Amino acid sequence: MSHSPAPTLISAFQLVVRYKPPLLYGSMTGDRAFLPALEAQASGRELEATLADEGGDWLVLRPDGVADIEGRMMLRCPDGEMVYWRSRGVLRRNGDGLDGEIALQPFFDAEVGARDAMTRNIYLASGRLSGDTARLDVWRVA
Amino acid sequence: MSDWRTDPPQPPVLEFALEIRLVLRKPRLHIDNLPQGGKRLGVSIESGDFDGPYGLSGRVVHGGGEWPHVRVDDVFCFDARYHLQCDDGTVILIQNQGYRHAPPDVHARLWTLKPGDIVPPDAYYFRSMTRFETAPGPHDWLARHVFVGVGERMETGNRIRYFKVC
Repeated sequence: MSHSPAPTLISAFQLVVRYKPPLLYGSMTGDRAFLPALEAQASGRELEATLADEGGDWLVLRPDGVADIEGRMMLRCPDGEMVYWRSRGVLRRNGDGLDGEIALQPFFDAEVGARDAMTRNIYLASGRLSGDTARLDVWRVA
Repeated sequence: MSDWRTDPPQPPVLEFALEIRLVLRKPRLHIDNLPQGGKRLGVSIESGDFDGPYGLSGRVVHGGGEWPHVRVDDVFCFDARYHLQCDDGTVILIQNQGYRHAPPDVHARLWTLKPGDIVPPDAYYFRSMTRFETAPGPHDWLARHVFVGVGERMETGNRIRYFKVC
């Protein structure tokens, strides 16, 4: 085993999402929750955008207090172009509710051009869900 | 007073967790000329081993593999899943997605690596986002975090170091 330094993280943007009330339901694979996005605002060096149309996060509530979380949404940039956000990761819940710490792996689709970096680099997002709002800081893995 | 909504961003700590060394089967399967452009590869896992600072060590289970989409811009989009078996018997599923890309000359060299040919890993970008699944027990911390992988392409396969996102 050889050690190597951790990759550098470069601040890319911040994403704040406000959700509608969650939909909670059971399934064959455990309790689930859907958090429909009401609004989203991305702001930072690599992305300025807002939620376009619908989207949200789908959760599977595991018995160990962690929820597997997957998100999908389309974001609209000021120049009119769209960026597709697709994420998966974990929500470490503080208790019985949905509040907790979030660590996500977002992937992006974007038109060839100004945002090529987003479709050829790895990003990670860390933050928190509290009440109806999530704040995520998004980092490019250099 | 601190406010989580407005505090300046603090990068998460990345903590070295384990290194996996994969031996990949040759030749690679490939489907060229996909309708969406590029090609799809199929690369099976022959064998491998792993270790790390948290008492993790063991072997890579034969089978599973990676199925990258090679885009028209020569970016490898990884999609891999296979199993690890720890020395204590625990089985762990690993799922990897990520990107590998390089300048054209480095890309060509990586594609046809000869025995003994080592391309410096800083000459290309090879990073993954990784999830682990395993049962409750000594290694279940792996399933409570996401991980970043930093990879190296070797003639026999890949060596990837994984960092826990704390």
